Amino acid sequence: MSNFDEFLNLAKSQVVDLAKALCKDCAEAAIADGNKFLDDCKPDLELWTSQLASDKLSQDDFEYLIKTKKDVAVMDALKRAGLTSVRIDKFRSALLDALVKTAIKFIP
Amino acid sequence: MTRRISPRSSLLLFLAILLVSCASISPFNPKAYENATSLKVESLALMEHATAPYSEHQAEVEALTTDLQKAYEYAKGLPKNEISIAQWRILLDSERNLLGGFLKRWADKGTLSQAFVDDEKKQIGDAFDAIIGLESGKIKPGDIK
Repeated sequence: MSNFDEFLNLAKSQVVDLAKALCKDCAEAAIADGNKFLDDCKPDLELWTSQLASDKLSQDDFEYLIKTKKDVAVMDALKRAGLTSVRIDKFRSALLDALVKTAIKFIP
Repeated sequence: MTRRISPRSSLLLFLAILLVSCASISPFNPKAYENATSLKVESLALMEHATAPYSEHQAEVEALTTDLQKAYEYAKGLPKNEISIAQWRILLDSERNLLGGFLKRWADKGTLSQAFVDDEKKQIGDAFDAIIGLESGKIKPGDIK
């Protein structure tokens, strides 16, 4: 097992510990969310840990990059929330369109 | 003499008002989309210079920051645009870790390492893509029948 795999396994066990400690009522969802985040970040984490090991990145840079990743995740979450609103608006629009067509048939 | 509005016209008017008032997010705005795409290109191009001393590029950073603020203000002026505004705010916040934070870090440290710049460029590109992806996914005039 490579150092990176060991790191990832350790990170996943920390996800479980943190989820159980901080999200008692929703530990399962928090663990799934945390593991998905780690899986999504895996290629970048692998690159950054190797750059950290070879001194291309400082520890401070590495921590900064992880925090950037968190902000990117927030940006993506906002995008998803916005696109959900768009889908709801499209549904309302289609519904009103259907209502108009139906109503016209009944009004002289 | 008063004009009577037919029941059919009244219904259509009512439904049109309902449709407009029910929208939960602003429609697609071509200028907002253009702002985000062009500023992505300009920002990533300037970030590439962050391995050089900040003082050599300070004027360019200030010009870019002004353009970014203009784009943010434009987004703020659009109705029902809170989610896009929140995205811009996070992107530009110098206390966070996206573009605003990157430019502050460059100013504070003087120069940044090539690996760090490359890694940040990819992430900040993704952050811009989140803004662009939301804007391009909004309802366009042709989408509404």
